[in-house]
Amino acid sequence: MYFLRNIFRLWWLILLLITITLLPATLIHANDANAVIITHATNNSTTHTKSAMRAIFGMRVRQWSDGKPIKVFVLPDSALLHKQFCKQKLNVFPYQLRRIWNRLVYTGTGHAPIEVADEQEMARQIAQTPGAIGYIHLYEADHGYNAITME
Amino acid sequence: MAITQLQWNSRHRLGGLIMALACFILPAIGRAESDTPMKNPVEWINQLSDKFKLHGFLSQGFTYSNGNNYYGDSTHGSFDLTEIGLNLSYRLRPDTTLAVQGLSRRAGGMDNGSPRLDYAFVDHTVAQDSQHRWGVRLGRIKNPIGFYNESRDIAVVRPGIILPQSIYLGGMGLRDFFLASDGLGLYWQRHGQDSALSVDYQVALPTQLSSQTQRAFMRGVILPGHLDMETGQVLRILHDNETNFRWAVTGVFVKSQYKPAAVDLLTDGTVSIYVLTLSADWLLHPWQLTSEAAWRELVYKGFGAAVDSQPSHLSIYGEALYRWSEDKWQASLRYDLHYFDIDDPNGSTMEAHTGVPGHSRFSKDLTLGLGWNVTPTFQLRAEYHLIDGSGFAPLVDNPGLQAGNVDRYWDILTLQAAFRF
Repeated sequence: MYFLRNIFRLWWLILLLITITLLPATLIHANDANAVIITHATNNSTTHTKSAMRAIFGMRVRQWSDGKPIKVFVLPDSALLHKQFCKQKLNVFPYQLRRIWNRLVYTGTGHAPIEVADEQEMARQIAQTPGAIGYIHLYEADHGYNAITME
Repeated sequence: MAITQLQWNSRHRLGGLIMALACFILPAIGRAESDTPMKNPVEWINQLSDKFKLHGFLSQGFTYSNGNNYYGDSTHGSFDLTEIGLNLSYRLRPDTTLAVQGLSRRAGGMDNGSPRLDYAFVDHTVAQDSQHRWGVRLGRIKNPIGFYNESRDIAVVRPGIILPQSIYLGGMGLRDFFLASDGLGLYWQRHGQDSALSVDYQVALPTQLSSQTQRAFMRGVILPGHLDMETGQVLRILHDNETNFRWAVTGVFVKSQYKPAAVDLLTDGTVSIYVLTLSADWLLHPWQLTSEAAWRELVYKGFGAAVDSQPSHLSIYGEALYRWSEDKWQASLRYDLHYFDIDDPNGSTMEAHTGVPGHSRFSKDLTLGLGWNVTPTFQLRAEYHLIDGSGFAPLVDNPGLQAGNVDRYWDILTLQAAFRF
């Protein structure tokens, strides 16, 4: 069979593939720090399920229950806090969210979240933007945002 | 003639090289700027208003093959794969968005690079709450077929450089519909506990098919009449458990009618195409397993005994993808199989009757792929295709194909640099 001959012709590539497979995958270093989801202070709905959060960060739900538009803020894919947030709060990998956002952006069916450079910028934006949602490491009261409790 | 040909080729090669260079330089500029407080122009535009978003992409490929050509004169090495796109999305009201994308795609003889409107539609959400959303789209809309058809020409969104041709080629009379259609779309989405369900239905306005689709319809024979699409409909149901498994079922129905010229070999027959596509995707980090299968029934009626027939196509592919270094690298192995006539899978009956090589009726493609996300917005890819069967060797890139001058066994090596913003 020609098909098998092809496989034998590429034995070295297959060997390479197997070697790669056996290498341990780089793990996400989920240290003790926890991500806290926060929203703008005027937002009243502070208890949500994991799937509701996935719908919001997946950019599928666009309005809060009071009709106010949701504004989603995220850190770059490579930020440690972003990886922790994805794993702990949504139970997905950063590349899964990226795939969803790319599909929305390049098919014209939605927008990607607003990317901010660091945690300070995240906290500042959420405190001053009505309808905003994002995440930080350390929650501090009276900074213009509320923490979201996951059911 | 020979000199003109040479100049034409070198002009294209030069264009390809410039594109390839741009692909390497642009991301470097983007990266340099993101390290400083200064924004790059696109970020700056997108921060002016949260209603208005500008994005785009740029990719350049290099293809080398033996046996048959793919994406240009690839047996001599070809840079004829360039994709450039720019899109705008404007949120007119919280529930209404206008989205437009312009695309230039150069892909050997299959696409000449002239800019086209890829999509342009108004999306209106009629009703939504925390669990449901439904709405309408009006205009030029990408048709949702399988997992990847809507983003088929966007290198950074599709898996690999060449999509599994069995599912996404489109084939006779379907190409136009697979690209996009002018018409109406309805969507309904439900986000339940640990699952998301979305249903999309789209219907196209009747239209005259492109000359390219018409040529493919009669295997390169130029007909004096024209082919009109009378009906084009697609329904897709997609279910996603939101963490690691998703599946989809897509049904497509396209009916075209041939309108003969005053003097014509053909009568006013119809071609009806029914396609059922099943898709499944399972994430077992670091592995991702994807498979899609399609069954196509084509009904040629009213053309006379020589043309009238009812062939059924069968397509299936399976892919295993492995990620490492937090998705910085990916390696994949895919097997893609297509039969143009399930009653004559190896084409021997056809060969006996017409002399056309039987291996033009199937394609078996084993693909090894490697991807490197150099930065979050810039990626390099390589693919090696081992192919048995000339079913997907494009007629436009292989002029000798009609005379039976085509190889059964051929290999394609393809490299691509892709940048998005």
